[in-house]
Amino acid sequence: MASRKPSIIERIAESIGLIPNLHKEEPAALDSLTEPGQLTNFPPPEKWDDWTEYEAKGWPRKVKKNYMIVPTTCFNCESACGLTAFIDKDSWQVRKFEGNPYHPASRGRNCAKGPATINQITDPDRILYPLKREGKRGEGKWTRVTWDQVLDDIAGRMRKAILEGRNNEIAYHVGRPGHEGYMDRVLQSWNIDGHNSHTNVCSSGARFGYAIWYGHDRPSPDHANAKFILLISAHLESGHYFNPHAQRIMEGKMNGAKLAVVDPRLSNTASHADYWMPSYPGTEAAVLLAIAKILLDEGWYNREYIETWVNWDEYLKKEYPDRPCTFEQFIETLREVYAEYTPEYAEKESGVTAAMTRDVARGIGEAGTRFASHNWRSASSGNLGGWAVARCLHFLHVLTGSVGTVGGTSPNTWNKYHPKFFDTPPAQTFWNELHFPKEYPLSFFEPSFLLPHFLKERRGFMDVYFSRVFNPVWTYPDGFTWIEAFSDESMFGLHAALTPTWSETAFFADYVLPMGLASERHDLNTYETHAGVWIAFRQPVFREAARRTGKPFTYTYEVNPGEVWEEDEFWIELSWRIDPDGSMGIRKHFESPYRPGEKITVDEYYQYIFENTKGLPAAAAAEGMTPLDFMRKYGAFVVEPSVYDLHLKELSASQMEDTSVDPISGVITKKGRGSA
Amino acid sequence: MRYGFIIDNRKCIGCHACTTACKAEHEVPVGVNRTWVKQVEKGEFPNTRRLFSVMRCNHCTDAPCVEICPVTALYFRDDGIVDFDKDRCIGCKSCMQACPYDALYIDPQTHTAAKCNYCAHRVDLGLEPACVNVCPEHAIISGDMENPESEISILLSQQVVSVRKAAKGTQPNLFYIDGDESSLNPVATERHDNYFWSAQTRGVGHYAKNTEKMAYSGDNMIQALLEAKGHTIGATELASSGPVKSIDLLMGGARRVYDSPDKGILWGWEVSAYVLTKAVSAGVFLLLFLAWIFGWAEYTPETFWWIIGTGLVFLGATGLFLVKDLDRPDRFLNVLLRPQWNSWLVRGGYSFTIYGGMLTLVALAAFFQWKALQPVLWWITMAFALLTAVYTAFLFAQAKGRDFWQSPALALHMLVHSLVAGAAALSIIALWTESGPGWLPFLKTVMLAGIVGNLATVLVELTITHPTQEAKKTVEMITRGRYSNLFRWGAIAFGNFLPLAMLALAGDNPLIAAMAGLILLIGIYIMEKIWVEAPQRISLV
Repeated sequence: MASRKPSIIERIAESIGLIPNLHKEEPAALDSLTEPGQLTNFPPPEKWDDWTEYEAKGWPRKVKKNYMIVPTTCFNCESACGLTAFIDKDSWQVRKFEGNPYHPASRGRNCAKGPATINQITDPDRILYPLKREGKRGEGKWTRVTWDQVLDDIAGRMRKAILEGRNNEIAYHVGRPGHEGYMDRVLQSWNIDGHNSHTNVCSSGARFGYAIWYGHDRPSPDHANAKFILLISAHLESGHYFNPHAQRIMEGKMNGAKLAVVDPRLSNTASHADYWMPSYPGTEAAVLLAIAKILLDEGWYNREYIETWVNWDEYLKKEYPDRPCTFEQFIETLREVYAEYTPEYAEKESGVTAAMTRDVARGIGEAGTRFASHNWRSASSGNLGGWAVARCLHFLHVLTGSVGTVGGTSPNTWNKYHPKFFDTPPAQTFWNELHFPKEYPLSFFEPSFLLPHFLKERRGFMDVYFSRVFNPVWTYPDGFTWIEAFSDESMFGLHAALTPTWSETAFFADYVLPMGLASERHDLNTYETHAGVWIAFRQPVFREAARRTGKPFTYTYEVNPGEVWEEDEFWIELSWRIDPDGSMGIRKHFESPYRPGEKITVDEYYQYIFENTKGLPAAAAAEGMTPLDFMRKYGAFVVEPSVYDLHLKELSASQMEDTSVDPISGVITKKGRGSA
Repeated sequence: MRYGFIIDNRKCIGCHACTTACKAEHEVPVGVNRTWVKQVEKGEFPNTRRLFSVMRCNHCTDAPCVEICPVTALYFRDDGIVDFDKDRCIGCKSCMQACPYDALYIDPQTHTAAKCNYCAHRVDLGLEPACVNVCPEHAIISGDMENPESEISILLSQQVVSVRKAAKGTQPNLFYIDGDESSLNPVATERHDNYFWSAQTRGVGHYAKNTEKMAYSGDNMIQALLEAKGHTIGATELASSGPVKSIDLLMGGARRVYDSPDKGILWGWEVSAYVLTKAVSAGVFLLLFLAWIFGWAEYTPETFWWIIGTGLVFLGATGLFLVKDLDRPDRFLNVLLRPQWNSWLVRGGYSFTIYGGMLTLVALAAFFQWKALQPVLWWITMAFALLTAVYTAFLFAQAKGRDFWQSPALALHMLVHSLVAGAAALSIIALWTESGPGWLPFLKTVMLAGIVGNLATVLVELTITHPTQEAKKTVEMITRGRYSNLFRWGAIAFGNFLPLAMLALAGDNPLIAAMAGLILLIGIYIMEKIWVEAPQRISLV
């Protein structure tokens, strides 16, 4: 077969210059990280500052490229999986993104969107400088302005509004938050009720279903250890938290878990299901109720859990005062209540066969406390009464006692870190009815889609409106109403679009303010991806590279592509300019905890959080580093490797301080917030 | 050491992370892929599922791409990786014809062939390939299959695995756990042409240059591409254009719902044209030799010089067509100067180069009256003319991806075409040159016999039991499908029966014979066009 040794003909032809010489001597080969035949996933972190590898495009010529590897997190969905940016030290460009092996949720792996971040960074159509509208709104004419001009203009307008008590005319409307608690602090420091979100057209239905069960509004399934997994919608390809969950769902499956998927579409997830339950959209709850009935009728329920953790006695006394107050009676009563929800009834409602519903119910029953489930978006957001889907789904966990267990499903808050901030401003003293109108007292999250309609009714005015990583024109069903309102200066006085990409909404803004992509911004991330707690650090990689190499800079936009900035620094600067002398009480919330009276830097902001993160200072010290430097180097930290059964942990005396205990239900309340 | 891959379909969720990680690592341009996820759906609602199959180079132990590559641009590494060198590649696309797995593409930026190379540049540093690293499910497993302790060896020893097209004898080193026939077998599902970038002919890969031309000339590219493909299929039509029914039944209604873009016809008119010019060039001398050695006819000196001239001119044209077909014509010399001797492209290239040299020597010997040299020179020249006439059959046989070309009758087919083409050309030349005694009847006889031989060969090639579905489908395409009109009316009726009738009825009239010759040449071109194009329309994935 073909040998790589060139023939004599080739040698002669090359030596007399007939054809280019491809056999020039190559520089010395690079050392391998491993023994021959062994392969490893990533270069070791001690080599991240100075990593040389061969350029794929030059291969098989051994073209060497020297990189600095800087960790950050992905920003192409909420999961914030780990990324490492390979910064070419010659061109000072990111060559590619790989995963981060130190990220506890993504574990070095990514979905297609992770490596594709490079396409966003190098998008020839991206906006690299702040733009100000010229001509009419939506006319498409823009001039480049400086960040100073932007800050002065917006801050001046906000200052005036706040001084005149028009705090309700300022709002921040967010699509993809991507951070932990940063903005709540900022809005409170301005004393505005200005938070608006997209949640009402997204996860609020499901959140409500969970919240009314146990005060936590999302589930955290322990897929990896489950024996039965029930997914409502397509968690192997979408939803929160796609890559971390997909890893653990398949891990569970490979360990023998059965997978049932309720999804009207033949999704990739449905394709992997042992039981695909293609229910008619909006009928999911019927199937879940039928499963509940089977669990009750066939005795699969977890008596110990229900007896201890459900207010069954209150229920009996209230609803059936004539009946004896015993657990057996409670179960009997439930069976009566659920009698109509037969699998046949569910089949008629949903199209899912009664036989499959029975199989799934028995699978769940057998799995017992090792039953994991998730419900995000789709069924609960797209249907009237969709919140009942989450509510019925969680009922199955209550029946099987699979709440907070190994292989079960925990409250999201158990697996999410609550960072400690250097300063917490008091709650705002305003209520903005544009966001929470009084006629919808039970609305869970802002009915944000109503905003342009309210403005058209002249219920209020938006003097300064920030849309942030958000595209309402595209996201909401009636985008044209948004265009109408955005185009009208009597509804939106000033609209600043903070966005990493061009969008239909930005088109109608007064300022288009380019904010960083995954590798161009700071954020703290922590999500309930599995039965543990972690934090990750999204950082602007050029800023970190500049810091490591001693290049001078003050703001992130100086080292990012063009003048792309980040919200963290933007809000600090803006807040100082709203209240330059501190007389409004805003500035003090943006003063350094380390240098009294001076402006806090974004480094100090995170320094404080990391210094106050459980276990992080010790882990950093073990490597002779500060907590901030540890996070800059590794990009993530495991706060708790595994968290289960927190409800069984007895509360300490200090935790019980200032609490009241309901004598009947036993619910403990602190500062008006209850916890079962 | 032997590196291989396992694709664990128990775990693959079809997320395409491998595709994008590979694209990022190698900066693979738009429209071409080194690895992709083929998606097939089978069954009927609600008993249906979607299957994912990661497709890429199989790093075969007996890789046909390495064997056919004329310039060692594709080669085996000691660790089993089939790597490539873009700096050697001439863009002849023979590797793309040889690979039964459609693993190669033409990089629209370098105009050279490329494919998965197992991230050899990473492996040499001890790093996993980019796709292995990124996979959320660890569904792509790499490793040394000769190390019994490696994860890949353990999986291979414990799991039921399958490979694509085992019968090809390529010994793939990529194995599927839970590989399904409806995904791994290309004929199990029809290739659908229903979305815009489903074919590279719409302007990527080998065809990117066309798009660029259109874009720079200010044409409405999208419109042009849509029209070029007749791509105005409505939803109703889509719904009704299901897969072939027999396969439907066999595979439970499997449907290919996503695949990498179809690469179109890689060897186009240039190749059909070169087969014809080469046939003429070799044919004229073969006839001269036959007339001389058997004394079947006498040729005049004028005829002799026309034969030398025609042989050289058509040989030159052959070379030009060959260079024209290259995506890197600037590197055409590599075929001769960086030869990989197992490739029939090299053997053929040298054959017709030597043939050209020999023709020149034959001419010199005649000019200087070196009579003693004639027998030796003529025998050697005949040998190289013969090789020139038939080597393409051996090249096509090396193109293992195209089953129809694997026909043993193809060499005979090429030889017959060459003799007929030679006689046809000479019968035209005879119009203005003086012919020796028996020369015209000789040409007529050759043409008549050639037509009969040609029809017999074609009959054999089309009716013989075909070993694979792919070959069978090619034959169907020729006899009943998209080429049937061209084949029946163009190649057979016009290209063979018409000249047959003309020669049989009025073959003694030189003008009629010459006209029959012209028609025969056109007929050969049509036949070659079908033979070259049709097999390339069969999906390899």
